[in-house]
Amino acid sequence: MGKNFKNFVLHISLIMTCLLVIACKEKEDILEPINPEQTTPKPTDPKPTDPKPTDPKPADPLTQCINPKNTNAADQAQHNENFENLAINGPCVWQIDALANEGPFTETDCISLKKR
Amino acid sequence: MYFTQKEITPPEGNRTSLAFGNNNWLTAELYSRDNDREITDFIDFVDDPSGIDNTVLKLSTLKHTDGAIIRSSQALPKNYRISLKVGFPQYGDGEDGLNGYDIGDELAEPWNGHSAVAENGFYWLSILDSQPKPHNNTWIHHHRKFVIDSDNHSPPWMEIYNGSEFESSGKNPIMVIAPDGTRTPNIRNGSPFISYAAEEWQASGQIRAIDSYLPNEWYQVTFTRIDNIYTFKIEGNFKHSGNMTYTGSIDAAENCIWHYNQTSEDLNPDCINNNFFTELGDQFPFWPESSGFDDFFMLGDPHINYYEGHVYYDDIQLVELP
Repeated sequence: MGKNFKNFVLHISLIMTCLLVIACKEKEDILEPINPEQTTPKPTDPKPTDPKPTDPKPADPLTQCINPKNTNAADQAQHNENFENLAINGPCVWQIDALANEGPFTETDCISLKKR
Repeated sequence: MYFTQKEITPPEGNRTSLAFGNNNWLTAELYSRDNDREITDFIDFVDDPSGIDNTVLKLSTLKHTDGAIIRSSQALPKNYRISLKVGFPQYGDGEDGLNGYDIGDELAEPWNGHSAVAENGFYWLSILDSQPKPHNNTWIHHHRKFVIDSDNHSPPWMEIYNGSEFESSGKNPIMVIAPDGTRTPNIRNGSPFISYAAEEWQASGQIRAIDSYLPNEWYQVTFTRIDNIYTFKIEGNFKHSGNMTYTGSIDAAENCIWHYNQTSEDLNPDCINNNFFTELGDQFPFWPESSGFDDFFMLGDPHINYYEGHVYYDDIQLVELP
């Protein structure tokens, strides 16, 4: 009886240990933070087309110098500006000038050889 | 390159490009030689100077070395109409004296040694063939496709139509100009003008204004381009003709208006001009066969060696046309 009881206790202990390990592993999987690398596009992912130099920058009130006072009122017709809803309230950054000496033509802006 | 060849050292300066408006369709381009200027020194949204309950755009260039313009963020479509209100300018008066400047000893240096005080003005609306930014006056003059502007000056080098005849004057002129691409441009000042005045386009080279503006009025300005036909309209209360609407059209292709073609396919072969300034060399032909030039609109004071004052704008609208 003593040997059978010890075997019984040993089996139960092994089973409980296995269940505990499995449970802990599942919990660990749930709580494990997402590897940031998994959200980073792979190097082979296609890149979005680079915007043309003349494309407008996306609206970003955190980085724009001139912003709508009231974003709810900013939904006006495209290409129509009455200046009622604008404020100069963002970071306005000056850059060192490199264009002042241009004229009359420059290498980049006079003749644009293109066919559309 | 031209001024670099002349060993002209540009001034140290700062510039910024501020996109705004719905989908950022407008961009303010500002320039200053100072390091401590506020943005509101150049652009601000203020009460309507006429006194009505309204907010408008104020563009200022407190120094003649400042530049402040609004431009279209993107190149304009093939066919379009731009409209806006412009008014209450304080950019000189064309009288002898300070002509709107602070001191009177301002120079257009370093690109030329002339007195800047002789000229003061602003652009009501202009179409350029490149992305507009504040530049010296030489660069700006070589990139204009169409111009509505004012240049107050004395002594006068132009005439203003007073409703019955042309009179020699440089006081508050409203100049409507199509640059003549059939003639050799001046390396300093660009193409000769085809001016609109007295209800017709004047002979190339004659500098004539349509009327004079009044300093405390709003004017409604419209520019329409359909294919290669340019049409302008200016409405308001004018010095000589009172309440009036001035309008006119010109076939830019037929008349070879400077760099009118947005694509090489649009270029009238008669406008091709492979001549070049000897100072720049043959890599800069005036108007080669394979060229195409986008349209951008611009308003304000782009000259970083001339013009000092402020002017107001409102209700800028761009409509793409079929």
